Amino acid sequence: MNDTPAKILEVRNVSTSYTRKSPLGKVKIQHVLHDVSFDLYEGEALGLVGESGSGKTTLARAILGFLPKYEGTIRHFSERPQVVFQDPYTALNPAKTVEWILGEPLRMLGIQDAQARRQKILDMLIKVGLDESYLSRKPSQLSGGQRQRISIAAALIMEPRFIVADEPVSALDVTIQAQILELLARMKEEFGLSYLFISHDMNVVYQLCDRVIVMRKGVVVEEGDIDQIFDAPRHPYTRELVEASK
Amino acid sequence: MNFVIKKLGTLLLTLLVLSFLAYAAFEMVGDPVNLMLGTNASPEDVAALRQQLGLDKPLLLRYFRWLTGFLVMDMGNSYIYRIPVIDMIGDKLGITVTLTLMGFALTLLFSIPLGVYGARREGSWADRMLTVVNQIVMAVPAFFVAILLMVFFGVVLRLFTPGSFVSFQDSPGQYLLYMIFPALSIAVPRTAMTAKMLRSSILGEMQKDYVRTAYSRGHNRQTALKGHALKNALLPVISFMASTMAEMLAGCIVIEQIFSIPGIGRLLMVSISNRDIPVVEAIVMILAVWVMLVHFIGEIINEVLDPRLRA
Amino acid sequence: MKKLFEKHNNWFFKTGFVITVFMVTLVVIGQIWTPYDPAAMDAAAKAQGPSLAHFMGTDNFGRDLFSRVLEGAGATLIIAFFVVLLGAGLGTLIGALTGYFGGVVDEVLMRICDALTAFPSVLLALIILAILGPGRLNVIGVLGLVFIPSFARIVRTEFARIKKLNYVSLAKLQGVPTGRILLRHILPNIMPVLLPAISIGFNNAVLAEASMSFLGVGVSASEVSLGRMLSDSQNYILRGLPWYAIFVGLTIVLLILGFSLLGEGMRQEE
Repeated sequence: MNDTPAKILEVRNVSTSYTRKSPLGKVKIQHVLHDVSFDLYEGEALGLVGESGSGKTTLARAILGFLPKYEGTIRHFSERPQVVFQDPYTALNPAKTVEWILGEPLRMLGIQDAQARRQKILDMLIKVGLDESYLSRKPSQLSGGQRQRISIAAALIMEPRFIVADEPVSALDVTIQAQILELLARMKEEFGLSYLFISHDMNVVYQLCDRVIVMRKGVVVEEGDIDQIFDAPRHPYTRELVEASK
Repeated sequence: MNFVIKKLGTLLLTLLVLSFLAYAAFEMVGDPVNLMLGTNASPEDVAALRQQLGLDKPLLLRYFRWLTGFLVMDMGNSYIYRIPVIDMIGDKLGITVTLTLMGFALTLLFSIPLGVYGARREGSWADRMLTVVNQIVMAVPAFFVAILLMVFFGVVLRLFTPGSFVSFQDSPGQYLLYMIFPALSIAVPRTAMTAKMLRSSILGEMQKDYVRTAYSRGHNRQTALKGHALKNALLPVISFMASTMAEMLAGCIVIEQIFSIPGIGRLLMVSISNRDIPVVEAIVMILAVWVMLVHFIGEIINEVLDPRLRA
Repeated sequence: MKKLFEKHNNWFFKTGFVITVFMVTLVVIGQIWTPYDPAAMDAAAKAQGPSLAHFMGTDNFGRDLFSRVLEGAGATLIIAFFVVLLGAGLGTLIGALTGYFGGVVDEVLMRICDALTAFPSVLLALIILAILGPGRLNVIGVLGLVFIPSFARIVRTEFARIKKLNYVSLAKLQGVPTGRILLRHILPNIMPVLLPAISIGFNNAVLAEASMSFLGVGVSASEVSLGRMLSDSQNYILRGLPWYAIFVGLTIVLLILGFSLLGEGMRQEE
């Protein structure tokens, strides 16, 4: 028993749907998620793969607590998760400086001393590959890759054990993508993090994740270790995704 | 036609709520009986008058009677002059509506060519001058335009005699000559605003893909503008014109005061200072109907031009 | 201030700034010192046109018009200031809460706002003031009240838009309390929309005060204001003495021009 790592997250039978009226007045029920279940363990990077419309972002919203209504249960075994969003342009408050943005979570943790906050922010900036010259910059003065580094810093500065990353590299250039993935992998080792890594790109998932869940139209079609999924996909849809990434 | 009915329903409901609020508010202002009989009237007289005016009935009932009366043009009697309100309002409404319509026509007449010209010659010397002049003219309130016109055309050039209004019945020519200056006063600031709005609306529309496509297919700028952009550019302008109609009516109150025009605005001010509540109520209600109707028509025109809005 | 200048480095903003600073400085000086006592009568200088001694001329009682205009402009500006404070303050509060929380209250309030904004604010203020009676405080209260919907609408739209952005979600995850999210995370981001609206609000407040007082439902007979003076000045025009009206009118124009250029300048995209 002691060999199995502790659970960080438990998702059981989560379903959600919305109803909409067709032009003829018929009520249609549209399933966004259908009976989704999985576990996430400590120190694990779990990939959640599917094309747009597969419900993966809705699932992420449910896990983060942004979805007001769903069926099933989602249990967290850690402090609240943090998140890195896809779009680095709306993830940072445009009216604030980097120091303020990174300082806010620290203020929420009760660190009132400005000097202590600044020291922590500086440490974190260096860890994500930036330096103190960024402190007084605003998001508009940063590149996409730099913004994503700040987003990661903002998520990590609360010292979470679990991070949801929603397509964190898909808005970036290929070279920057590699850098950010490398950073995420390094942070995982350093802080012993668990990731729920959402992506449409099998390739990206392969570089970071240990295990993969493949979703299609709100349903989990396949789940397994990354090598197994990549080398011997069972579901035709998974095969399609793997082929497309090669 | 569905959307028309829907909008009409909203319109009537809004008017109903507004009219009740206005009625209730004016009824709270005070008892007209003291005003009419003086403070040392006997209690019997007071009670008799209250009964005669129907003031002994509950508010909701009085409101209902007033509303149904209003619908058949019976707006009660003036507390002060003891004559039907409708007789006091009749001609005066005509004068104010004429003034508003003249102002509106002048605004259309000048703002559309100016706006289109500015958009066509965007960035040119003339366009820049127009922008600057527009910006300044917009800051000149209608009442100051009125004063300037009165000083220049009335006092200096003596084209008309300020303060001596000539009615249509007496002399249609003199009447129009007298009315043209107040109409200009309310038109000038609004012309500047409308022209500016039309210009930026057209330019915004010209940026859009479909116009660019038309442009690249060999249409020259002018046809692209006429064929595609102008219609769509007019949509926001029409909403603005509706509020122009509404604002002009409000503006008339001040302008009538300056030019001593016996319109509905002056009557409103006199009735307010006389506490002649039935007259005030009737005028406010007419103004509300006017404002709501103008917005309603604006919305209908917009929806006919742009079916996408019908949601 | 320096940041505003860097951001809005255009003709409108600069000119508006110069005019507004000039007018406000003049009015502030006028509160402390005027060339003549605004109330001092001079039988030897009744109803004169502009002269070296009296730059704007004098009124029927020989009072110096320039001194009186300064006094009146001060009163008008103070009224406008409180009108905007009330309208923008409550409008922002209502707009922020309805925009952020949404729901039925939002629906109902916005319907009311729609109906009210369709109605010309001057007309609405006129009717309410007619019921309440004139006076400086009433003018401030009523104009402030009728200005609320326009601010509430603008602010509501912005809050409803921004609350969906990722940085607000992030703040929620970080455990930032809702009040702080509204005030520190969202409010600074609506300034590009709110500041021009405030500047246009000033402009409308000056205009509305002038109209109300001109019609006699604004400040009371014993109080001063530009609108009140404009109303007085009418009698002079017909007697061939237009200076009074023209100077008072020009003062109003300059005030409005300054504010409207500032607002326009802030709305221009760089």
